[in-house]
Amino acid sequence: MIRRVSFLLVFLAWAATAHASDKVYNAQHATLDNGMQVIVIPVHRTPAVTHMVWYMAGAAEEPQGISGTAHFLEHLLFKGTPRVPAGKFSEIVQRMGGNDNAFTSWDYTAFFQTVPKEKLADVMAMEAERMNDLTPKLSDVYSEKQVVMEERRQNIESDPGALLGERMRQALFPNHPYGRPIIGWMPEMQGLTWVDSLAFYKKWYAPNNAVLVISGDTTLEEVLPLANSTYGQLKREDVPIRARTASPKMDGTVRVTYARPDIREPQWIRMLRVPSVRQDTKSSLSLSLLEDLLGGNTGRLYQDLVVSQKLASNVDAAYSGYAWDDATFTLYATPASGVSLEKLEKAVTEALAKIAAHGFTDDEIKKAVGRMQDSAVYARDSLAGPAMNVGYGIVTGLTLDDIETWPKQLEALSKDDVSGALKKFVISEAGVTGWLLPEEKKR
Amino acid sequence: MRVFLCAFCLVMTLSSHAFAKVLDIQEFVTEKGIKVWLVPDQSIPVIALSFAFETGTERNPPAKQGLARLLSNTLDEGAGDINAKNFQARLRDHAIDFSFEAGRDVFSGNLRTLSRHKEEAFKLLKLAVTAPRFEAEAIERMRAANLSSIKSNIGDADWIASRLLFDRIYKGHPYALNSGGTLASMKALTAGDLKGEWKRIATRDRLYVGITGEVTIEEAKKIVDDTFGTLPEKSTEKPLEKATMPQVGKPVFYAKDMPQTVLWMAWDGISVSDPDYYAGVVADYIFGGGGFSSRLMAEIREKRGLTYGIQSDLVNNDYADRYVVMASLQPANVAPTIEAVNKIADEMKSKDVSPDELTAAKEYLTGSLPLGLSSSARIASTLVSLQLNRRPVTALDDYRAKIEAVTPADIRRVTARLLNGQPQVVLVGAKPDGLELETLTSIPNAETVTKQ
Repeated sequence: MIRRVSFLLVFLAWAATAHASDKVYNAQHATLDNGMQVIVIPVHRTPAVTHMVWYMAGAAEEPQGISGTAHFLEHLLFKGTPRVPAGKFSEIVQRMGGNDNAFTSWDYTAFFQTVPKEKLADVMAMEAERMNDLTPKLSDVYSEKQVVMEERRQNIESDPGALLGERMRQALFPNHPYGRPIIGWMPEMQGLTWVDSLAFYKKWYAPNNAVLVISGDTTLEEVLPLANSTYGQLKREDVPIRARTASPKMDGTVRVTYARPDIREPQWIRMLRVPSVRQDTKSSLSLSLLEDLLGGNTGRLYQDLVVSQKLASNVDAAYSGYAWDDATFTLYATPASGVSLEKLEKAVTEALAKIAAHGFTDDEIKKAVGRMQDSAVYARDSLAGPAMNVGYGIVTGLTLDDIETWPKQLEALSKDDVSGALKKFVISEAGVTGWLLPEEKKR
Repeated sequence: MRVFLCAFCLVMTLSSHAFAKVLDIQEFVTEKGIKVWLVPDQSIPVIALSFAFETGTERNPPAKQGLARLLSNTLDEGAGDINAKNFQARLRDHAIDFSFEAGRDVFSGNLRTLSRHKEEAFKLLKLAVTAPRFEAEAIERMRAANLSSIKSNIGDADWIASRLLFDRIYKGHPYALNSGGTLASMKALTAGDLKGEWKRIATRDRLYVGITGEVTIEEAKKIVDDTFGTLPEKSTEKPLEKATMPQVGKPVFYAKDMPQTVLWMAWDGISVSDPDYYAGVVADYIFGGGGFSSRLMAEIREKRGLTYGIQSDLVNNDYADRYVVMASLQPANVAPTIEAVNKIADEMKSKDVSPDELTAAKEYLTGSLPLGLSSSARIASTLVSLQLNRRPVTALDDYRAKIEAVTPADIRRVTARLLNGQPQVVLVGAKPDGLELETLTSIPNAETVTKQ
C-alpha cells in the first residue's frame, strides 16, 4: 500500500538485478555502532540521490485483530515530530526540488526521498528524527484514518480484480499473516487507534531493525559521517524476532469465484505458494527462469494458448520471490472471445503438462539466462531503481552478495533443475484458482 | 507487442515541464531533413532513441476509431523477412525494449538497447519502420487483445469517467472520440486500413528524434537517416480546427455499483505557447498539481480526510487545452468537495498567494528539473517532447528564468483564466447526494460508434 496517489509500486522482477561478469550494483556496505545497516550504491549520472530507510517490519507483524496498523503507522509518520510539524515533511522535501513517499508490504515498511545531493544530510536528519520521536495530534490521527479507509474504498473495494486477489490470498495462506490485506479489513480499520500504532512503532522502529540504502551521486565515505551524526545518535533497542504463525499444508483444490454484472471481460488466475529466495536459493533461481520461459509474448504459454490454439487473448506468469516466508508464483489468462473459463483452465493445465513432459532444451535455458543477464544492466539505468532493488532483497533476508551475484548464479542451472521446479511447484494442487466473471442479470 | 490494460491510456498528454539544465544537447538536422536532439552519455553502456511523428489518433474517423492504436500494436509484429514470433524473440533475446504508441497528436516509438546489441536493435527498428508485414495472424491477435482491453475498460470507473468527460469537453471535435477504438470499429479494421494509416503517418517533415547514450553525433546521423531516410518527405494533411470549450451543462452521472464516486471537473485551459503558460504551471502547482503541498490536498485530504487523493492537471493538446481536477470519494462527500474546490478556486482568483507559498512552488519546479532526467528513456522522450512543444534548444535554461519571473499578480490573472466559470462535472459510481444530475445509461463510443 502506498501513501501517495499516483505512485505505482512497480513489480520489480527479481530477475532484473544483475550482470554476468561483474557485480550488479557494486554496492558499499557498513554497520553503525547501534546496529543500523548502511548500503550505498554510487551512480554518478546526475547530481542527485535517492535516500531510503527500510524497516524490517510490515503488515505480517501486526497482532491478530488490528490489520492495517503497519500501513496506518506509515501514514502517521508524516503527521509530525518536534522539529517537522504535520504535513511539513513532504513540503520541505519538495522545496528542495525533491520528491518523497513511503510504502508498506507484509515484510517491510519503507520511506524514501529523491533530492539534490547537497540536501542528503537534511533528509537524513529528518528521517532519523521520525524513527523514534513521532508526536501526532489526535485530530490528525482521526482524519488520516478516514484517508486510509478512502484508500481501501478506492484501490480495493472499487476494483473487482483486487477484491478477488484479496480472497485468493486468504485461501492461499490460511493461518498466516500473508493472507491478510496490507491495508487491513474494513471492520478492523474502523477501529485503528493511535495506541496500537504507537505500540507497533515502539516495538519495531529502531536503528538495529532498519536498513539505510542510498543510490546516486555519493559514496560510502561521504555518507558514513552523515549517518553517524544522525541515525548513529539513536539507541539500539530490543526488537523481537519475527515470529509468524505457520500455515499448514492444505490438500485439495481451492477455487474462488467472483461474479459481478458489470464485468465484461472474464479473467483466470492461479496463485501458487512457492519458495522465496531466502528460503531456497536454488529453487528461486529456477522459478525466475520459469517466469521468463513461460511468460511474456515469446514465452511458451503465449505461443501455445494465444498464437497456436487461440483460446486466450493474453497469458502471463509472475514470480514474486522477495518474501521472508513463502513466495507466490501466479499465472494469469484472459479467454479468447467465446471461450469459457473452464475450457481455458483445462487448456492452461494441459499446456503446462505438455511442457513438463518434454522439458526445456539447453539452448532455451542458455538464451533465457543470457537475456536476464543483459536486462540486469538496465538495473543501473535510473536513480531510485538500485536503492529499491537492493532494499527489497536485504529486508527479505538476503545478503548483499546474494543480490550482487544473482545473474552469475543462474549459469549453474541445468534444464533438469528448471523442469523439476516446473513439476514440483507450478504444476501443483497446492494453489488457489480464481475466476472473475460476469454475472448473468437476474430476470 | 502485448496490449496493456490501462485505465488512463486515454487520459492526457501532459505538458512536459520537467526540463533540466544538466543536459548538454546537440541539435542537428540530418541530410534527409530529419530533426534530431542528441545527448551523448558514456556513463552506462545503453542507448535510448525516441521518435515521434506529429500526427495521431485525431485523424481517425468515427468508423475507424482505434486504427492508430491497432497500428501501434502491429508494427512490431514482424517486418521484412522476419515473422512476428521471430521478431519478438530477437528483441527479447537481445534485451531490446521497443514499442510504438498512438497518442492524440503524436504517433511515437521508443527503443532502448545495450550498446553491444545496437546493430541488431537498429536493424530491427529500420525493418519495422520501412517494411512492416501486417500478417493476418498478428492483426487478429492484436485485434483480440484490443477488444479484450476495451471490454475491461467498460467495467472501469476511472476509464468511464474520462470517456464521458472527453465526449463532453471536446464535443464536435475528433478529440471527443475514443482513440482506443469501440468494439464495433475495432472489429471492422482491415490490413488495408493499417497499411494506409502507416503511409499517412510516416513522413519525414514532421518527424522528431531524441537520442541519448553511448553514441556520437556521426553515428546518430547515420542511424537516423538509415532508419527513416527512405520515408516520404512530406505530408499533405492540413491542420485541424481548434476544439472550443462547449457550454457547460448539468453534472453528468453514470451509475456503477461501488462504494465511491469518481469525480472529474474540467475548465477551459491555456496552451503551451501562451505567454501565461509558465504562470499557469506555478498556479497549478499551488492549486492542485503539487502533491501533498497543494491547496486541494491540504484542505480535502489532509485536513478533512474526505479522499485518498485529489489533484489537478493542465491538459495540453495541439488543438485544445483544458484544466482538470480529479478525485474518488464517498457519494455523500461529492457535493461538499465540489463546493470546497470552488471555494479554493475563488480564493486563488481573488487573493494573492503568499510570498512563502510562491517561493515554495518555484523552489520545487526549478529544483526538480535534473531529478526527472535520471534514466535514458526519460531523457530521450524529453528530447522529443521539447521539440514537439516548439521549444528552443536552450529551453532548459529559459525554464528556470521563466518560472522565477512569475509574480502573485500573474498567478491571479492566470487562475482567473484557468478556473473561469462553472466546470463541466462528470461523476461515475455511487449516486451522489444533493446534486441535480444528467443521468446517462450508456457510454458513448465504447461498444458502438456513436452518432455525432
